[in-house]
Amino acid sequence: MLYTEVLHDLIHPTWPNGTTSLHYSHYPIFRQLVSMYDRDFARGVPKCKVQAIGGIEILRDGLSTFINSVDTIIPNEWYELNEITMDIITKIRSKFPDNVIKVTELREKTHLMEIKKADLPQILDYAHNSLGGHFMTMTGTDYIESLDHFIIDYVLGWYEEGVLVVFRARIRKGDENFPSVTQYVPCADWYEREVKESLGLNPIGHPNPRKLLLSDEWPEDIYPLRKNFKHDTRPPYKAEPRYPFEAPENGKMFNIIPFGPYHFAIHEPIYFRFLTNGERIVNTDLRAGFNYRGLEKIAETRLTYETIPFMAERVCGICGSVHAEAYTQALEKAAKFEAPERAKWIRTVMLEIERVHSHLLWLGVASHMVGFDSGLMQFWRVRDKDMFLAELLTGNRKLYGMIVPGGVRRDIRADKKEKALKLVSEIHEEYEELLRATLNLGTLKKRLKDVGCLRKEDAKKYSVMGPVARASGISIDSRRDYPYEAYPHLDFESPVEPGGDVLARTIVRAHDVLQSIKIIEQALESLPDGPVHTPLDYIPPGVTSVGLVEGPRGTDVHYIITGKEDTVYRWRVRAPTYANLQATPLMLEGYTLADASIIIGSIDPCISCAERVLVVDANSGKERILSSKDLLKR
Amino acid sequence: MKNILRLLKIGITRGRVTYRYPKDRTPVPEGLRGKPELNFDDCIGCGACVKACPPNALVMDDHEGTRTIKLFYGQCIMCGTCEEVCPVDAIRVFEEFELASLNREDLEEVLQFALAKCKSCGNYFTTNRVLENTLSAYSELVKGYGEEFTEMIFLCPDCRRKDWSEVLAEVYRGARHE
Amino acid sequence: MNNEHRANTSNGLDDIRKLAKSPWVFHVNTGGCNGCDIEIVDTLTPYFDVERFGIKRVSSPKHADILLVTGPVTRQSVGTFLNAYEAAPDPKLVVAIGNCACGGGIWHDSFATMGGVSNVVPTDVYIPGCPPKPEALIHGILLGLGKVEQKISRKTFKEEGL
Repeated sequence: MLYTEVLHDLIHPTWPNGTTSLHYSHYPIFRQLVSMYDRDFARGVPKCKVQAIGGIEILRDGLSTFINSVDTIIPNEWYELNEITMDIITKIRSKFPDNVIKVTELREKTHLMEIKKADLPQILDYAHNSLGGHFMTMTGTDYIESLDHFIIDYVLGWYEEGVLVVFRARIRKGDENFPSVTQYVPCADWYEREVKESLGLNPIGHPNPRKLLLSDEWPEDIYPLRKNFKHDTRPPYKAEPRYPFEAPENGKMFNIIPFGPYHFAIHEPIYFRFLTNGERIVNTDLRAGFNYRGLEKIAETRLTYETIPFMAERVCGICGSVHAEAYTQALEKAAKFEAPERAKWIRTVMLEIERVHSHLLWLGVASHMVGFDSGLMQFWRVRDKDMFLAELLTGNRKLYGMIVPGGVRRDIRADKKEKALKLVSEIHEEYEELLRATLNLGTLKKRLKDVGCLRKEDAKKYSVMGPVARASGISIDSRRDYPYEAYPHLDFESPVEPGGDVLARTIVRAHDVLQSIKIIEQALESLPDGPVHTPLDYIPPGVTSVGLVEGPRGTDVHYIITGKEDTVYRWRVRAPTYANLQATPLMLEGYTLADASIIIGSIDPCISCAERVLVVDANSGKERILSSKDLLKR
Repeated sequence: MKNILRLLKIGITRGRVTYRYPKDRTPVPEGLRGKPELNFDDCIGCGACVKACPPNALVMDDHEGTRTIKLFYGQCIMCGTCEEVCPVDAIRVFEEFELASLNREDLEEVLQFALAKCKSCGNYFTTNRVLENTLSAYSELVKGYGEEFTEMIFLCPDCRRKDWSEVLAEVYRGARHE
Repeated sequence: MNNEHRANTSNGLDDIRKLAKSPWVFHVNTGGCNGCDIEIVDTLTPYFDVERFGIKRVSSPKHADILLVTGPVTRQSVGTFLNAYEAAPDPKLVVAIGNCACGGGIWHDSFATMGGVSNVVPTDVYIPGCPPKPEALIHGILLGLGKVEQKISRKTFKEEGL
């Protein structure tokens, strides 16, 4: 009570945009009160409800010296400090009473916890390993021009409670490093490497600080995601240097086999390097980054809120609408906007059509990888019917262009609905017939059983998601745990298998298709009436929000900070394969080269074929590439 | 063995579905998003589609009294945003999808319009067709306001701002004296 | 890598058309989103069946007559792409499939891409689309082989008095 009464006397009337201002002579008292309140609040002892003084722009007029000492107010965001009774936050606060600066509620079930950068490892270790959080994403943002610091955010989610917590730390200009959390939380590996190369923030203590996504010959001191870098600057291309792969231990002769960038059965180029002892794989190293196109930077500079979904779809041609949906969800959460009911159901139909086509694609490609080409042809024949269905409803076989902020772009007329329902029942019938004939084949099962096992503890440690997690016995599904669109009204299941091998993943995906067909039939039959699009009128700037969608490969996480000029200030796309690929070396260890392609294929990414053989003499360190002449001689 | 026979049966009964393209055509549903076409007679050269195009397939260039709008099909993602924003329905998306070409120049469409000069400062600011379209579309609205209002349409945005602020200043001075 | 378009006759378009055997294709993905790649594989499946024309997919560029390229060439993939291009023997046909390969697509001015295949190697056939339908792909490959006519041509319109 004391705080509100004193503050009330000091505060001036509210400005039109909802922020309040303070006369500068009262600032020292205000500062002391806020820090006393925060200290008590951080101990889990909420005193009262206070309207936060937001809007650092107001305080900035003539007060630049005060800005440096204010590190508890986040720019341009309007906060309401509620009594936070969430279990997880209280546990963290009670274990680390002096390290938590502030906790606020961003949007429904999304909380922001501010901590000092030196405390990052221990708090994240506790949250991930003891409290069982799932590592969702991590990102860094450049606020140098406006505030002289960077911020880094770690986002963790708890599927059972359906909540998200964003852990935020600030990094001052001139002191651009932070302690790495990779030794406690192994799945943070790639994210910290990416922040290092794109923003220049150095993770101290990281075991593997090589380049991840930028090309090998990109100059060391140019950081693309900083605000002073123009998106169309292209340094001249050079042929050197090349990526430094891990070298084998001295004194042991291993074969290094590159699973080079171009593979027969489609998908992105990615470069795996196996260290083998005869036919057994001992260790794996990999080089990603062949697909890096710099889309986050283009979205911040050249596009607007309305046109970003078209680019988001083209992140991946197979699961495009998932990305458009995650972006739209994050934006609509930031604007506190609800799309019309009919639009939500149509969006659900589009997402499930995509899941069916993606899993049928995978089943065909996996059959091809084990030598069962009839499977490829038959599964893709059924899949083409799904593509006709998509073309009927949206106008394009892939990359539908339907999901935009505010609703969807096209409506489903009654006659199209009839044709669609007929196509869905045909797909259902043909798919069940095919499943009965293929999944019982003895030879197929022998190739897939007990290959590429991932135990449940390792799956938790690396925070894998999607069918890979469900096949290792972890029951997570964002459609059920973080409900969105029309899923709360629909009836479906998410099967879980305990095996952890490639056969378990196949069975999980095969059942997922049947559940998706069930959802499409339910949704098309009971579409509610109404408009399909209402435009968003106001999107407040400076708001952090996270959108989560269950794609065919796992949970897709999009993190945005809204900006001022009709575009985002920061957009971070985290596809589920990013998390699953980090667990692949574990899955490959101990199995033969012949099984390597199906193991890598079982997490459903994009890969490639071996093209050359590289032999390294471990004693002298010299490399020699065997040319076609050498290979043909023998 | 049983399963292999099942697979054979599926292949024989359901597997023969090939469309003999290019002799047979696959059924194309209504509403397929194919090539967008610009109708030169209706187009007024306003540039709304240029601003809205996400991959910059439509580009606009003003040079010495001529505005050139170029559409490059090699970059068009067939999203239909240009159709949504066009004020005169001059660009529409049709169902043609056979767009292969042996060279890059065949994939371009070029339109050229004459630019109009500002009556006050003499700089080029927009096309003649845009001005005609504005006059005809808003002729009912501006009828009651007199000649000065219609004259303002032929001024560039900077001169229009200056002109209008002088009018406001007059009004303010006049009101203060009363 | 300069950014000018090179003349597209140095790959041997006329020689390829004289070859009597069925052409073998090799598919190179230089960093695209996979939409065009799955449409390429879709041409093999029962509905479209490109093997009717004798076209076969091979797993090494040294066996290839036609190179199907997708993706806006990303900086990381330039080296490996050029390896594949030089390994394919002449005469060959380079076919740019999809918007990203034709002109850079929606990432045409990004710092991480080269802006399309024609900025890196001479290109013979362009097939626009995002992604192009399998029928459009077959049409494009047959156009390169000289078996169908081109349907699109350049159009220029000028206002009177210019």
